[in-house]
Amino acid sequence: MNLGSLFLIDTLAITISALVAVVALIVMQYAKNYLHGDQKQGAFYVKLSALLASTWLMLLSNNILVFIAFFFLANYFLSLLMIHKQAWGAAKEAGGMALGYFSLGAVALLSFAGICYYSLGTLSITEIVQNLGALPKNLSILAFVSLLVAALAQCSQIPFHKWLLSSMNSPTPVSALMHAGLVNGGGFLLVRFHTLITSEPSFMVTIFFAGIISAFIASLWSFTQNTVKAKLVCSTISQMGFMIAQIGLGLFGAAISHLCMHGFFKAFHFLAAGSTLTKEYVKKVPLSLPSKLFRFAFSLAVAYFALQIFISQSHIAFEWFSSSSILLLFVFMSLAQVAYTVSQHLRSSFVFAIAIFTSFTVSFLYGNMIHLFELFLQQDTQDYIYHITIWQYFALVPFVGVWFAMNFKQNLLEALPEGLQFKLYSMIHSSSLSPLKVNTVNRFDYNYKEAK
Amino acid sequence: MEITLEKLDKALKTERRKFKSDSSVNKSVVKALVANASSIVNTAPPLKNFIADNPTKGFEDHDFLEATKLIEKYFKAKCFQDREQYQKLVADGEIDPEILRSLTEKYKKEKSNTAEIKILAPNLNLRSSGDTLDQVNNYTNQFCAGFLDETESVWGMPQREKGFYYVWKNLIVHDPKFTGDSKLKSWLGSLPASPEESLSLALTVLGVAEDDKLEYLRLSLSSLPGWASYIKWREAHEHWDHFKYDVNLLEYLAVRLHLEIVFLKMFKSYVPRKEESVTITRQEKEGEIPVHVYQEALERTYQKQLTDIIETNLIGEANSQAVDKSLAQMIFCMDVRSEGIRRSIESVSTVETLGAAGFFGLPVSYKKYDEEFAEDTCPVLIKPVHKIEEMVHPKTLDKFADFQFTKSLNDLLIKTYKSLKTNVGTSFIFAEAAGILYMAMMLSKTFFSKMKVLFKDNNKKSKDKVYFDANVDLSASNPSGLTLKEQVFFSETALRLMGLTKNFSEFVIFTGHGSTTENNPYAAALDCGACAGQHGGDNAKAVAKILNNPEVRKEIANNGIHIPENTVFLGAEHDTTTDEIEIYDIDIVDPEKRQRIDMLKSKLGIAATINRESRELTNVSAKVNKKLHTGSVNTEELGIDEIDHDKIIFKSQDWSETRPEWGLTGNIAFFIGARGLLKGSDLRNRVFMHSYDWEGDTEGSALETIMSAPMVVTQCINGQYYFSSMDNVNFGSGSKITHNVVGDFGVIQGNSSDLQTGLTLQSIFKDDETLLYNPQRLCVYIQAPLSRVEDILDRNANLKNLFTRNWLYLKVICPIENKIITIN
Repeated sequence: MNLGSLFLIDTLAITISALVAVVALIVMQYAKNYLHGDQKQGAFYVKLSALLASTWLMLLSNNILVFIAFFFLANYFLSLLMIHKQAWGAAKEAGGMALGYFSLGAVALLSFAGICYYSLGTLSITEIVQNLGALPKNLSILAFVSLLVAALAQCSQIPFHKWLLSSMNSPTPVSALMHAGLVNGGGFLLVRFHTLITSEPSFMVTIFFAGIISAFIASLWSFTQNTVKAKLVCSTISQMGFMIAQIGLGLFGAAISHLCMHGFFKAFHFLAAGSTLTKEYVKKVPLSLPSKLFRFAFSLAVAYFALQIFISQSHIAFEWFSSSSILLLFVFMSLAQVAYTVSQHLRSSFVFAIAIFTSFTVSFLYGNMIHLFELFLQQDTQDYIYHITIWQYFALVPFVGVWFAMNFKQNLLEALPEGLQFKLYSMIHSSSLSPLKVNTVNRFDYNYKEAK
Repeated sequence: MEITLEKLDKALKTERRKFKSDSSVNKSVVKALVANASSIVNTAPPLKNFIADNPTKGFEDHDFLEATKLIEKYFKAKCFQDREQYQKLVADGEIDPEILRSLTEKYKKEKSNTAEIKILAPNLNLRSSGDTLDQVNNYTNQFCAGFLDETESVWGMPQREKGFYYVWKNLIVHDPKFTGDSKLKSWLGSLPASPEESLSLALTVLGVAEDDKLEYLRLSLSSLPGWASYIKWREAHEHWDHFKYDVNLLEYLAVRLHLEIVFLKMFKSYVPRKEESVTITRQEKEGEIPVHVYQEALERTYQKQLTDIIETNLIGEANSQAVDKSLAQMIFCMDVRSEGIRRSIESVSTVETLGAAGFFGLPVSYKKYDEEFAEDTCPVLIKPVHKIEEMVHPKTLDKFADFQFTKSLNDLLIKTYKSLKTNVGTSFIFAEAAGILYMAMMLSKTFFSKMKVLFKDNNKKSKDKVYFDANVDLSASNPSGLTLKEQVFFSETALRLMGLTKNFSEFVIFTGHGSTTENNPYAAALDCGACAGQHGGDNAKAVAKILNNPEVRKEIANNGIHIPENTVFLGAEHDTTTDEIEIYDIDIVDPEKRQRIDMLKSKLGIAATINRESRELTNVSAKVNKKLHTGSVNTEELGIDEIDHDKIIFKSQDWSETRPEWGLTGNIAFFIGARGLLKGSDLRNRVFMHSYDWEGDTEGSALETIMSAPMVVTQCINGQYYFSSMDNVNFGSGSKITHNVVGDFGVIQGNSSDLQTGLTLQSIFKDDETLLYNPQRLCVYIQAPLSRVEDILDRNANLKNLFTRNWLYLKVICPIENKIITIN
C-alpha cells in the first residue's frame, strides 16, 4: 500500500481544504478576543482543532470507511462546539438534535459504502468513483438514495432542515465556521461521487428538484425572519439548495464555486452580526408605475447584453434545454436587478449609463471568476451538461414570478386580502420556527456558566 | 377556586355568551388594573437608546432588604453575591473585618423586631406539570419578536397597525398547532374585539378571584420581564416617529392570558394554583452572617476609604488652595469615566476641570444632517420640546456637494446590495459573485485593521473636510429652535448648577463624551447617559455656541454673571474608548489664541496617554481595583512595565472585541461639591462628580436641582449595574457570544428567548465567573450645610425615601462644622 492509495488529493479536495483553511484562520483569530474570558475558550480551540483535523483528513482520505469515520468525527466535534456549554439546556438540545441528523447522514453513508463494497469489492474511493457508473440498476438506486439522504441532511435541506434552524444557540464564531464549512459537506459528497449521479438522468433531475425546492421555500422563510441570525440561517438553507440544484444541472464547477463563495459571504455576515444597519442617506426616487415599468424593461435589455459578456467570459454556453441555461437565467435576473436598482435610485442624468456600466462590469468580473474555478476543477471533475425537461424550467416560474413582483411591491403579502395575509404569513413563518426544546423558554433557563 | 379541565371547558362555553349580554366591562377599571400591575417591571429602551436604569424601580417603595426578598420570589433572581464570595472578600481585605463585626452586632440587636412581608406566592405553579407555561412563554417570545420587529424582516407580520391583540387573534387561528381542534378555533374566533373586554373575559375563564387579579397580572408580567419592560417603554413613547406601530401592556396581557387558556386545553396538564402567602422573615441560620450584612460591610468599607480621602483634604491645605486655571476650564460629564481623564489632565496642565450633567442643561433633541429623525439628547426624565438641527458650517459649504456625492454613491452600493440580497432570484448569484470581496473584507478586518489605527489621522482629515454646525436659533426653518430668552435661561442655569459664575478662564470647554466601538449592538450603553444614550459632543457644541453669542452674554451679565470678553467657549468630545479629546470648531478661535489652543491640545494628548495607561491597569492588575487610592497609582509597585497604546486604541476598531471599555462599571459614589476635596486621588473611575459651590447657592435651589435630577439618575444607573452584576441572567443580557439581534431594537439569546435587557456579561465581568468590581449601592456625598440638605429632603419625600429605604447612602460634608456627617 503506497501513500497514493491512502490519500486522494485532487483539485476538488484542494479547493475545499483551502476554503476551510481560510475561514478557520479567520475564526481562530476572531475568537481570540471574542471568547476572551469565556470558561470554555480553551475547550473551544481544542474542539475546533479536532474538527479541522477531521475535516481535512476526511477531505483527503481515499478509503471510504476512513472517510465516513472522519466525516462523522468532524460533525461530532461541530455538535460539541454548537453546545459550547452543557449548562444551557436549549443549547444542549440543539447540539443533540444536530448530532441526530448527522448520525442519520452517517448511517446513510455507511449504507452507501456497504453497497459499493458489496458490488464493487473495494473501499478505495478512487476505484469506487471510477466504477460507480457500472452499478446494476437497483443497487445504483439504493446507493443514490443513500448518498442523497446523507447530502441533504448535511446541507440542511428540506425535510432535514430542522437542525440548522435550531443552531443559533451556538457561539457566533461556531456559526461562521459551520455555515462556511461542514454545511457544505453535502455538495462535496455529491461532486465527489458524481459518477453515480450522472449515470442516470433521473438522478440528476431528482437532485435538481430537491435543491430548488429548498432554495425557494427557504428564501420565503428568510423574508419573515426577525432576527439577524435566523435570516442568515434561512439564507444558508436556500443557498445550499441552489448549490445542490447546480449539481443537479451537472454544473459541478459552478456548484463548488458557489459553495466556496457563499462560505465567505456567510462567514462574514455571522462575524459581523453585531453591526447595526448603515443609515440610508439617499431616499428612493419616487417613480410612477409606467416609469418603473420602463426602467424595468430597460434593465432587462441591459441584462441581455450583460449576459452575453458573462457567457463569453465564463465559457458557459446558452442553449435552450441545455442544463446550463437554467444557471444563465439566474445570472440574467441578477444582472437585471443590478441595472434596475441603479436606475431607480440615482438622481442623475447619467443614471442609465451608470446602470449599463455597473451591470456590464459585474458580469465581466463574475464571468471570469467562474471560468477560473471551472478551469481549475475540470482537471479532475468534468461538468455534465445534459438535455433538461420542460419541468425543470417550470421550477423557475415561482422564482421569476416572485422576483418580478417584489420589484414592484417588496412586501408581497401586503398586496393580498387581509385574511390571506394572515394565512400565508402563518404558513411561511410557523414552518420556519425552531421547536420549543431548543428555545430558551423562561428567562432563567438561560445559563452562561458551567457548573464546576 | 380550583379549576379543573371540565370547569374550563364549561367556562369556555358559557362565559363568552354571558359576556355578550353583560357589556358592563369597565374599560377604565381594566386599564387601571394593568397600569397598577405594570410597576413590577421598569421600562427598557431599544438598543440605540440604551441607558442604564434600575430594573427593580417598581420595588423602590419597599425597604431595600424587603425589596430584594420580593424580587427573589418574583423573578427567581439573586440580589446578593454568594456567601463564599463575600468570605473571600473578607479574606482579601476588601471587606473591613471591623466594620463587618460591628454591623453583625447591630443586626443581631435589630433581629428581635423582625419584619414580615406577606405576598401571594407565585401561583403559576403550572410549571410543575411542565408544558403549559413553557408553551405560553415560547409562543410569547416568538410572537413578540415578530410583532415588534420593524426593520429586519422583509415580509413583516401583517396588519400591525390594528394592534398587538388583533394580529394575534387573527394569526393564531392559522397556527398549524391548532388545526385539529375545531372547538378551540371557534372559541378563538369568537373572542371580543376589544382587548380590555378580552382580558377581563380571560381572567373570568381562568377563574381568577377579584382580589387576586392584580397579583395574577403582575405574575404574568414577571414571567418574561424583558418583553414586558420593552413594551412598557414603547407604551410610554406612544406615537413616537421612530416606530410605525404602537403596542401596550394591556394587549400584551390579553394575549398572554388567552394563550394560557389555549395551552391549558391543549396539554390538559393543569395543576391547581396554590393559594398561600409566603411570610418572609429575616431569619438566618444560627451563627451565619446574612449576605446582606456582608454586602453592607463591603459598601461601608469603600465609603470609609472615600471619606478618609475627603477628610484629609478637608482639613489639609488642598481645599483652600486656589486652582490654577490659566490654560483653560474644562467641563466634563459627571459620568464616572470623567474622573480618570480629569485627574490626568490636571496632572499635566494648568486646567481646571468641573463636572456637570453631560447634556449641559439643554433639554433638546438633535437632528443630524443625514438622519431622518431627531434623537433626544437629554436625560430621559425630560421630554424635550426644542430641537437643534445640524447644518453645514458656512465655511465648508463649497465642499458639501462632493461630500454628498460620495455619500450617495456609497448609499447606492448598499441599496444594490440589499436589493440583490433580499429577492428570491438574485441572492444566489450575488453571494457567489461577491464572495471574494467578503473574504477580502474578513481578512482585512481580522488581520489588518490595526492599519486603520495607524492611519487614523489621515482618515480623519479627509473625513472632516465638511464641518457641521449646531443651529440653535429659533427661525422659520427651525420652528423648534430656542429663543434668546430660552438660550439665556438654559445656559445660565447650567453655569449656576456647577457653580461656574465667576473667574472664567480664557477658554471654557464643554466636553461631552461618547464611545467608539465596532460590531457592538450595545454601543449606546457606553455613550452618554445624560444624553439618553447618545454622544454628548453635539450638546457641548450647542451650549458653547449659545454662550459665545454676545447678546446671551449681555443678558447673563444683567443677571450677575460677568463673562469676560476675552473668554471663548468651545465644544469638545471625549472618546471614552480611546481617551482622545476632539475640540470642535477651533477655526473660530482668534489666530492670536491659536498657539495656546495648540498647547492645550498637546497637553490633552499627554493626558489621554496617562489615562489610557491608568485604565489599562484595570485589565492587567487585579490588585489595583481593590481599593481607592489616596494618591496616584504606582505602576512599578504593581509590576507593570509597558502598556501597548495601539492595542487599547485598536479596541475601538476591532470587530471581535467584546470588552472595548468598561463603561460605568464599578460606580460606588456620587460626589456633589468642590473638586479640591478629591483632587489627586486615583478613584479608579468609580465616582460620579458634579461640581457644586455651596457658597454661591445661598437658597439651595441649585442643590435641590442636582439632587432631584442628576442624583436620581445616578441612582438609576447604579441600580442597573448592581442588579445586572448580581444576576446577569435575570437582569442582564448574558454573554455576547450567543447574542442574536432582533429587529434593530433588542437582543435575544440564541434561537428564541425573552428579550435581553440590562448590561451584558462582558460589560461587567472580566470572565464568566469574575466580576470586575463587586457591585455596591451608591453613596452620595454632598458638600453643603447639613441644614440645607435636610430642608431639601424634607421638601422632597421621594428623595428622602431613597435614603430611608436604604437604596442610597448619604453623607454630608458640612463646611460649617467642617466634618463629614453620615446620615445613613
